Amino acid sequence: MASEAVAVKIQEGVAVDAVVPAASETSAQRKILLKSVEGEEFLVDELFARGSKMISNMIDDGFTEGAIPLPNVTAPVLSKVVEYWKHHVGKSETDKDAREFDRAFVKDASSSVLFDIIMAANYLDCKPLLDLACQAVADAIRDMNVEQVRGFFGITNDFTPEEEAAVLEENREWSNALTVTGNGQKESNEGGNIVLP
Amino acid sequence: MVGIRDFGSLLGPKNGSSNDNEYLKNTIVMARNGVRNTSPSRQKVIKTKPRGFDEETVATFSKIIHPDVQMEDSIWGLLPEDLLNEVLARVPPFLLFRLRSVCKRWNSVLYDSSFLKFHSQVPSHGPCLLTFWKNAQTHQCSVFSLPLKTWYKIPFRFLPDWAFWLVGSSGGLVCFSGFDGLSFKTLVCNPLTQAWRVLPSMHYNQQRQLVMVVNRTDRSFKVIAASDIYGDKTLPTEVYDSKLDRWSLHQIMPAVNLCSSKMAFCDSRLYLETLSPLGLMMYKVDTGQWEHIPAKFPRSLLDGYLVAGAQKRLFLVGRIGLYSTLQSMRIWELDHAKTVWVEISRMPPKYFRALLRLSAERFECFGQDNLICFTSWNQGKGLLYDVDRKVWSWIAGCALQLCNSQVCFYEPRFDTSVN
Repeated sequence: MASEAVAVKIQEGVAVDAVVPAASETSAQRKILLKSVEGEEFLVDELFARGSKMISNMIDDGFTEGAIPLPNVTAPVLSKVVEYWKHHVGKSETDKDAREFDRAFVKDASSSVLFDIIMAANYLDCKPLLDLACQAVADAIRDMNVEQVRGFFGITNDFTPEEEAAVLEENREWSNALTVTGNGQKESNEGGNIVLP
Repeated sequence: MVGIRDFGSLLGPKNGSSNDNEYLKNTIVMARNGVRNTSPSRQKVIKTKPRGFDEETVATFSKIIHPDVQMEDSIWGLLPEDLLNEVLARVPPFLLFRLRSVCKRWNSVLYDSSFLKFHSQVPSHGPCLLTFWKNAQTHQCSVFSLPLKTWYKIPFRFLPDWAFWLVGSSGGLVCFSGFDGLSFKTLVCNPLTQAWRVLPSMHYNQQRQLVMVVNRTDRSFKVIAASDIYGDKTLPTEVYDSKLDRWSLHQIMPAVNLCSSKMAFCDSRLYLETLSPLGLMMYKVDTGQWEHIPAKFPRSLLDGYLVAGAQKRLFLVGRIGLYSTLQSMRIWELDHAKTVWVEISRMPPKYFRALLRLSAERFECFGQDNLICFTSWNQGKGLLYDVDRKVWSWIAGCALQLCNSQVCFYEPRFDTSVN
């Protein structure tokens, strides 16, 4: 097994030999091999890999031979997840570097990557990453008007005009936010920004 | 691979004015496995044809989209329902109402048990102030969200006319009291779900100082009726338990000369301030017994508000000094072990002067989670002291609504039931 040519993705800063045992039992810092859907392999510190509850359970259940296959995660996404673990696992919740990383992580993520991260974090059972990614989407949609939200999620408006009018009327009471501008003038931000015919 | 580099561009213009052409141009979506569909002749129907848009506008959409890229179904449409609920649970509660008009399924999301489960697990929205204003003809309830710096008017049409006093709020529920004819009644409601219920009458029909407390772990709430408004010293303490849906009688508060209206509930104990002499009484809910706490109050203390903080902390807020030029507003914390009030902060003079233009000006003081709020009765100003960060700040955007209103902290929650 050890002599097979294995396509190994070397993580930065981790010094490994060209041919590496799958999970080193003897070394002080055990490493776990994770395999993405394309077959690309990632060698990750066990500490970080346990950032995923699913992987953690597999390790505890004795899965030590070979690579852990992750058929639901692509290599680019797995790479980002590993990055996340490296910045968060073992750190305190208020760690400044971790917060900075999160900010950049979300800001630079393209829409499809963010989607994939949510799916991956859910599959891998990594709650903090799921929190981060879902919050990013929540922050995006809260600023959208109803039409934009429909477009974003690919939702068809299935209300009849009467039903829609009734819901809008209800919303009007809730959406009647009064904001106070700098000079103390009150302005009414009425309605749900619906594009009406 | 074509992708969206800047997620923010999905939003289009920030001011929310619908500029759908811009928006759709930027929404270049890909199939799930990241492979572009490059078949040129396929003109995919845009699933989200906006209602009311005429054919000409729809045709314009197709022209704007880059010829190489086809409009695929939005990947976000493939998000499983439970993950969509995770996302929606993280949208601020007041903004969720707007999204109910997206489609029928989203209209009922606020009642969806999966959404409510996630909603109960995410961190709280943040501190909000609820104001209640009432005159003989009408009443008005508004909520100011500190995180969003915005006021929201909450429809409170269900509130009966007799509801006159805002008792307080806890865990998303709000409690009112008042006289319905000759009966002193209490009402509990969840403003976000509009659910409400009048509680059964107390054993003794008299106006009492009340406090409501929600226990989110066992999904119940209690209302404690301590002292009688008029100083009737023979009344037993009554406690309403939502699990039993009835009031139970407990120990009569030991004879004190006079009770103030200052109370705070903290760590399953009700603290009540007594006047003449100034002192502290404590009621333990588990045992139903009163106890005198022999903590000496600061000399020449005026006002003396009791405020409950987080993690069993109890604060005392008041003015020291009889003369206006020498007055200062101070905050003490009870050292439970040593039974002594320890001064932890003083309001900087500039805030004090701005809050109370005249030394006798009325103000209210209340708190939640180590935030202490001061509202000036006449000026409609709100001042906040963050005990943990030791920071004083004006509450921006808060003016006017506070005048002549009863105010309390409020935590918007969909998942707290009135039953």
